[in-house]
Order: sequence, then C-alpha cells, then structure tokens
Amino acid sequence: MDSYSIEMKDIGKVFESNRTVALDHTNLRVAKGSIHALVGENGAGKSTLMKILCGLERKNAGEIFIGGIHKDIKSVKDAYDNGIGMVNQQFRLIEDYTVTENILLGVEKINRWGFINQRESLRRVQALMGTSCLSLPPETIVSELTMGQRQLVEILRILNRSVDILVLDEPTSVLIPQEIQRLFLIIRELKTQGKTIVFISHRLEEVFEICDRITILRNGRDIAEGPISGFDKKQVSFLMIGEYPGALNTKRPAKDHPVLLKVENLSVRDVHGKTEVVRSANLAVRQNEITALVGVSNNGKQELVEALVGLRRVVSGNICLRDRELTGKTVRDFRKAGIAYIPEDRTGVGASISSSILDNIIATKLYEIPYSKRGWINRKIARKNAESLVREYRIKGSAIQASLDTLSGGNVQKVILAREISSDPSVLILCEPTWGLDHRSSDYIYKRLAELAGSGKAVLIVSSYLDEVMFLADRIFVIYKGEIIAELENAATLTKTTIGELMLGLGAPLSYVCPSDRQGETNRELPR
Amino acid sequence: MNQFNVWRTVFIVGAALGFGLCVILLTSQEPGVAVHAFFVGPFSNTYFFGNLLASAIPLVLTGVAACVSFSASVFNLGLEGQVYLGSFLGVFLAWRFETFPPIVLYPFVFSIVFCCSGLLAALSGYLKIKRNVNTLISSLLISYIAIYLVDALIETVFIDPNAGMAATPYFSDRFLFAKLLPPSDLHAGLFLALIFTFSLYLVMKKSVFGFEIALTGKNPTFARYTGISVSKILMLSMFLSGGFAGMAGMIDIFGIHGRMIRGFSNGYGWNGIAVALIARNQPLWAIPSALFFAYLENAANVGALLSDITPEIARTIQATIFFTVTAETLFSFVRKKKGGEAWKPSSTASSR
Repeated sequence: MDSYSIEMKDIGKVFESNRTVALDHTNLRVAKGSIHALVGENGAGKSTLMKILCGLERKNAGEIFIGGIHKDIKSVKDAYDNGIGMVNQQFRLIEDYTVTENILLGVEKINRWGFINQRESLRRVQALMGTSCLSLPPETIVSELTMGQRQLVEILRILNRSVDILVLDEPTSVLIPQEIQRLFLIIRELKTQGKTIVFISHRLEEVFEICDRITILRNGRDIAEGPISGFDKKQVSFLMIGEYPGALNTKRPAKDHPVLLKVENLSVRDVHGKTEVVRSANLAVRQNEITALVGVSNNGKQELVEALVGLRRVVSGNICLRDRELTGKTVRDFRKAGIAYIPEDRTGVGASISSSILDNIIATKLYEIPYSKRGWINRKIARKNAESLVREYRIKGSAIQASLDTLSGGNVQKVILAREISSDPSVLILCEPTWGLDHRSSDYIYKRLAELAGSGKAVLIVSSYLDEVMFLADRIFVIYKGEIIAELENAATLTKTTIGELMLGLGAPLSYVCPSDRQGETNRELPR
Repeated sequence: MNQFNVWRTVFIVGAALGFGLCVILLTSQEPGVAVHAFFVGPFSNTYFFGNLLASAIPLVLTGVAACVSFSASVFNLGLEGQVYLGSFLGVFLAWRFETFPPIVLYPFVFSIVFCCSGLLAALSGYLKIKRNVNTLISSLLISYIAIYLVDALIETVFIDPNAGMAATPYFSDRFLFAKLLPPSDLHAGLFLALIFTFSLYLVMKKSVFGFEIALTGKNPTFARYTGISVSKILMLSMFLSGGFAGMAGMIDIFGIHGRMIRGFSNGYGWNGIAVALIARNQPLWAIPSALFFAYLENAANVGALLSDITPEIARTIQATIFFTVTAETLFSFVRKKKGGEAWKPSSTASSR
C-alpha cells in the first residue's frame, strides 16, 4: 500500500451555498513518483478534490492517506507540512515584486534586525533553481515576465516548501505551445527527482503526452482509473462526457432560413492586444433558428461573442446584420441595429446589482424616443414599461424600485432576460442560458427562446452544457483554439460524443461549408 | 435616501453632537453658559444666524461638487484647488473688466470660472483614461499645484501693499452681491447656490446624462455593456465637479470678501467631501448637510465669543463626524462587496 503517495477514499463534499453535491464517494490513488492525470468536464469536481487535498476546502466525508499514513489536512500549512503544494489555474503572484520576493513570500529570510536579508534570499533562490534545473532572472519584476515564466515562479515557490507532491491545476490553459513543451520538460525532470505530480487538464492530447496514469471524474465520481496505456482518447472523452440520452430528443430539422447575422473571417485579439484569440472565424446565425456556439473555455468563445456585440475591437473581418455592416461600430449602434446580448457574467456585466429593477430595465432603452426626449427621461413611460415587464415575466418581489440585490438569482436573470427580449431584437445572443437556474426557470427560458426563434428572430446561445445545446439548437458551431472548426446541423444522428470530440480537438475538422454555397449536399459528415 | 439611511444619519449626527457635549462639559469652567452658547447661540440673533447661512453657501456648492464626482465613482479630492483657482479667476476678471455693468459681467465671469475650474478637474479624468493615473492622487496633486501657483501670484504680482496681509486689492464694490440680512454676511449668492444645487438635482434625477453618471458609478462594466461611453462620463463628471467647486469659491468672494485673500478658502474643499458623504451623494441633501457643518463652525465661534470654550471644540466634533461617516461608508461598501459575491452559485459551480 505504501507505494501510493496519495490515497483519497470516499471523499464527499457538499456546497451549502447552492446545495450541490460536488464530490460523491470520490476515490483517488496516485502512485509515488508518477505523473497522474485527473480529467473531467467543467464542474466534474477535479478542482474541488484537489482543493481538499491542499487544505483550501474542507471535506464533508472520507479519508486522506499521504504516503500510507492517515492525515487530516485542515489548512494550506498542513498541506505544506505533508509535502503537498498546488499551482493554481490563476496565478497568485504579487506582480510588483521581484521573482525572488515572490518565491520566498511568507518564508522570507530575515536578518537579526528584522529586515529581509537580500543576500541570503538570493542565495536560497539560486540554490533552489540549481537543484530543480529551472532558471529565471531572480531580480526581475514579475509583471515583466511571460505567462510561462510566471508559472515557473509559482512552481519554484511551491518547491521551496520542499514538497513531494505537486498539483498542477490546468497548467497549460494560459500557455502558448512552446511554453507548454518547456513545462512538460520541467514536469519530466521533477519526476526523475522523485516528485509525484497530479496534472489536471481537459486537453486530452497533453494528458496522453505526459501522464503515466489517469483518473476520470464525472459528476463528482471517479468512474475510471488506470494506466494511461489502457485508454485511448476517444474512450476517455466518452467517459468524461458520457453518452447523450436519446430521451430529450425534440430536434427540429434545420431548414435553410435566411442568414440574419453574418460573420466573415473575423479575427480578434486578447485583452493585451498581443495574441489573436479568434482567427478568421466564419459564423452565420439564421432567422427562425436557434444556433449554438460551443467550445471549451479559453478557446476564444467569449472573445468572439464580445466582438459580435461591439464590446471588443475587431482586428480584421466583418460583422453584418442583414445587409448592414456593423464592424467597428459602437455598442449602441449594435443595439440599435437589433442585437441583444446576455453575458455569461450576469451580475458583473449584465446588470447593476445595486440599482433598482427599473433602472436595470431601462438602462439600454433610455436613448429612444418614448423613454426620453431631448435628454430628459420620461419616468412615467419607463415605469409603465418596467411594471408591465415585471408582470409579464413574473418577477417576484415585484416593486420596480427594489434594488436587484434583494432578488433571487432566478429573478435577476428574468430582469435581464425581460430587458433584452423586450427591446425586440433581431438577434439575441445568450451566454449560458440556464446557469444557476432551477428546473422551472430553465424550462421557462427554453420556452421563451423557442418562441423567439419561432417568431422570425434569430437566437445564438453559447453554452458549455451540451445536453442543453442538443436540446435547443438547430445548428451548432464548434470553436477550437480560436477557429470555427465545424458547423453541424442538429439531426437525429448527431451525438454528444461527436461534439465533445470536436471541442477537444480530436475530430478531424470538417471542411467548412459556406452556407450559401451549400446546395442539397448533406453538410453533416461525421468525423471518423 | 431611504428611511434606514435617514436614521443612520440622524444617529451619526446625534453621536457627534453628544460627543461634543461631553467635551464641552469636561473642558468648560461654566458648562451651563458654554452649552447654551454653543447650541443656541448661533440662532440667537440675525447677525449670528445670517453668518451661519452665509458660511453654508460655499459648503453647499463644494458638497454638490463632491456629489457629482462621487456618483460616478471618480474621486475628486482636488476641490480645494478648484475652489481656490475659481476664486482667483473671479477676482482677476472682475478687476480686468471693471468697466462692465454687473449684469454683463456676472454671466461672463461665471462661465469662464466654471470652465477653468472644471478643466482643472477634468485633467485628472483625462490622465485616468489615457494613462490610468489614479484620480484620487492626480486631482489632489494638481490641486496643490494650482493653490501654490495662485499663492505665488497673490504674493508677487497682485499683492496689495497696503493690506498688511497676503491679499489682492479690492475690486469695484459694484460687483459685490446684495446683502440679505445686514449686518450679517448673508448675501444673494445664497440663491445662486440653491439654483445650482437644484438644477444639478434635476439633471441627476431626471436626465439621461444623470442616469449615465449614476450607472457608471454603480457598475462601469455594465455601463459599457449598455452602450455608455464610460470615459466620456468620467471626464464630464470631473468637469462638472470642478466647475461647481470653482463656483463655490467665486460666490464666496463676490458675496463677502471682495478681494482674494491667501488661504481664505481653508477647508471648503475637504468639508465639501464630508458634506457629500453625509448627504450620501444626493445633491438636495447637501443643503441640510452643509447647514449642519456651518452650524458647527459658527456654534464654536459663538461659543468662544460668549463663553470659555475654544473654536477647536467644533473641529473635534467635525472630526468625529468625519470619522463616523467615513467609517460607516466604508462599512456599507464592504458589505456591498460581500453581498455582490454572495449570489454566484452559477459561476462557482462552473469553475469547479
């Protein structure tokens, strides 16, 4: 038994705040000196399991053995004491400090006057870099480093606590390919030094490149475990996502309705304006259809959507609504032209949580004639509109002066939905339609979306929940590494597995068929 | 302002006055006389009462100035400098164009003063947008530059050698505002202050522009999402804020002093910030809030005149209020932040 460096048995975790079971009798066994992959969909429980191991979350049930000895890990310090350290997906570095200062954060070398001993610190960091074969300029300010280098700082900081077990949570998600290769070299080097590494990822190619063993989580359970050689990628992807049950099948056959929103060769850069996160994407959202855009996070999905509503600058390519060119126009022009948008972050971007229902509803409409004249708001009309919407959408706690933070999550969503739909858009872009909603509210939203599509509008949903996509969408676009790699019609033969493989970049990319060129041919060639 | 906020404000004011009472009782030899002079003195005759109202005028305006910028969540800490620049420009222009009839001079001087002080504040807004400089710091530093430049001008080029202090000569008293309650200082600028406050109230409450300011202040990301040009709003609210501050100084000069005196505006800007904090950024509430501040100031002066307490008592009480109000604002801010994060089951679920 002592060959296992980590053994987690029957771990249970319930999040009280939203009453979800994150982990349900989950087991994990990691052999000493191995690189162990932990894979699963978003929300499968990977990060939660690791947070429990590293003392960031408390478990509700189960036992943890480290090197065969039963341990109770209550805090990050406990984890360090047991030789466990984690590199988080979001780096926790102080950007204005130097590499040395960040590595020694919390365990600074102090001289007898209580000041930091610079020379001793530097010596310690250089020794650390020497033993781990990682090198970085120790005096550089962290904000000047690349993402890959910052990650090394994180790793060095963990190694400084002399850990034996390193947990890397999605370490490659922010790295460029060359940096990923460098990281893999480092991981292999650490392995030869006898460290145990847990590698969390949903990029299967990487898992197969570097890992020795694998544990697959689905819905908080470990459903498969074993040496990586016993699996192939398709099998893992199937185990991660599961087969789509046929029961929900209410697919409508897609017809060739006219295109409302057309995107051609669109390229968009990231926040820093350096790398192109969307590369010559082509997309067509059609009237009377619900179109879905799917993709794993960090693949340009969010940036593409922001460009579609005017919130992000376009590098090249165009966006047209009907025949109107919208590229380079302001957010208000996009809205005027008939694009409505419900962002993923409802309370941060899609609403002002400390404002009233009324203010949230009229915020986007204020600039049109009945609501304001010559710059003065007509409160009466605004109030009437808000009141009728509150009634129509059955928003509870319905005083329109009530501030949004007094409403439940579902009602906040309804306020946003009411505002966006009531502006009578030609195209509604909706991210994660039913996040945080219970069954009833979800059904309500599905109904509204179907109604919208039925009444000659176009709906674009962006969802990471494939069941929902399969249930709602007539047409599905898959984005992978910033490129639209497939356009699929949601016909009876389409399976969730196929989409999942495409999203993970496993399926052979379909040759993109420009909708107008396609005549009679079946556009759904399943990749094999 | 909802009822809860009103009660909170009453509590803060009450606590501060209670504290003041304790200090008076502890320090005074004749507490009865002192308490009476402090609490009732300012209302005992037209002279004291008129002065109370007169000293509230600039505070209302600086309070309103702070309200505008705070509503947009940009912090104009340079009110002091904008007040000072406005006052000096007012004096200079009244001097330079002394042949003008007052009816022509007023709108002319007012608009120039408003624009110049406004631009001084808008500079911080510009730096924020273009270079991401913290408005808090830039407005404060720029304001100090303005103050020292104006001081230098008063002490050198524009000094009145006969004044016996650092002050410019008087401008023509045709331009002075009419006195309302002689012999007190109360002047017609009171109406100007009320008109300005009320128009700002209307703009904030009823106009699209006011809505944009408030929305930008509450959630700039959402404001951008609805199509508001957030940087434009930041600049404009800083401009308005600076403009009102300039008005505050200029009206005080045209109502009372008739010349520029070095350091005459001491504290108008800072007290304006406190006024806005008590008024919770509602322009109309700046009026009672400024009156209260003016009352404290005058109560201390009257108390010092009629009994043995010192004006420092009022400073102690003002400081107490400033402290409680800021602490309380900070508290509600922290709570709001927590509350904002409480509802996020969806995103935590996904990141797991």
